[in-house]
Amino acid sequence: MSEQIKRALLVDDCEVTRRLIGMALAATGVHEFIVAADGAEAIARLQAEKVEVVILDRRMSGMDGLECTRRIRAGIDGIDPHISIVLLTAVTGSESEREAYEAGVDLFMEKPISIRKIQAGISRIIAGKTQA
Amino acid sequence: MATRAIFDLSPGMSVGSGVFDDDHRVVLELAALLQDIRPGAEHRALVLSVIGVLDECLGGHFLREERAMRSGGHYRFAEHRQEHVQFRRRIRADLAAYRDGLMAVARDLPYMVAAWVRRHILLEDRAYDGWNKGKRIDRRPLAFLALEAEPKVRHR
Repeated sequence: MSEQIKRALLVDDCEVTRRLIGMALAATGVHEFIVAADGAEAIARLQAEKVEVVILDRRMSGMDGLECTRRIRAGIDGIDPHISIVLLTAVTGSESEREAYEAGVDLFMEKPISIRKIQAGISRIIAGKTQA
Repeated sequence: MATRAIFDLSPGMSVGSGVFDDDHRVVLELAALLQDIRPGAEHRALVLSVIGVLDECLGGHFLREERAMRSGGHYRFAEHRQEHVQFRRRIRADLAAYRDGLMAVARDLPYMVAAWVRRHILLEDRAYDGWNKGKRIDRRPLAFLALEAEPKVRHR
């Protein structure tokens, strides 16, 4: 199901959400993932480790998902600026979607989370990589 | 601590097949996850997420189990399948009730799921030896079966 995504970074300040996304990812074939509790921690993890996709929340107690996305896209501290980014958020609506794409995400998805939604998101990321 | 134990799949709860034990473990873990949700800005979205993923995983697990039972000639297949149907109906009714504002669902559902799974394993799954030992067990990851069990719908 997820033939080309082997490793992901999950960024959310809620531990239950990280565990749930991890379970959904594992169920779709992505078995290796690292976690971070906010944008700043995500940046630090990306400086030290390689992943193929970042799945992050928008609203977090520390650095939020949009700022984290902007910093990744700026390629700060040697981070790959072309890494795939999925924003998975409870901040719904077209304004939230517009802001997410302006920040540089590849895919905007609204919570609630489901296996089907995660699988569809991963498939779209893979399709995008294949076309690139 | 005693209440927490109901979400663990003890060796005594094994049905003797790793793939089915893993499925049961996932279902119990999702029930425990629901119990772990704390008040916060995204509480509602998170509760809906966990119950939704639980429903998807149940769909996948039941499909795997029913295929194995059918191929193994389980003589109580119809009755067993009916239990699955009724349980998913209950989960979906609870999901709808929570959406409509019945907050008690988030509190009560984890224990209802754990009690049902434990009873179902002990009285149904383990009552008829041999059905889960066949070569025709679908061993693909649960998500593949969860997606097969549901009609396709579009998500944002």
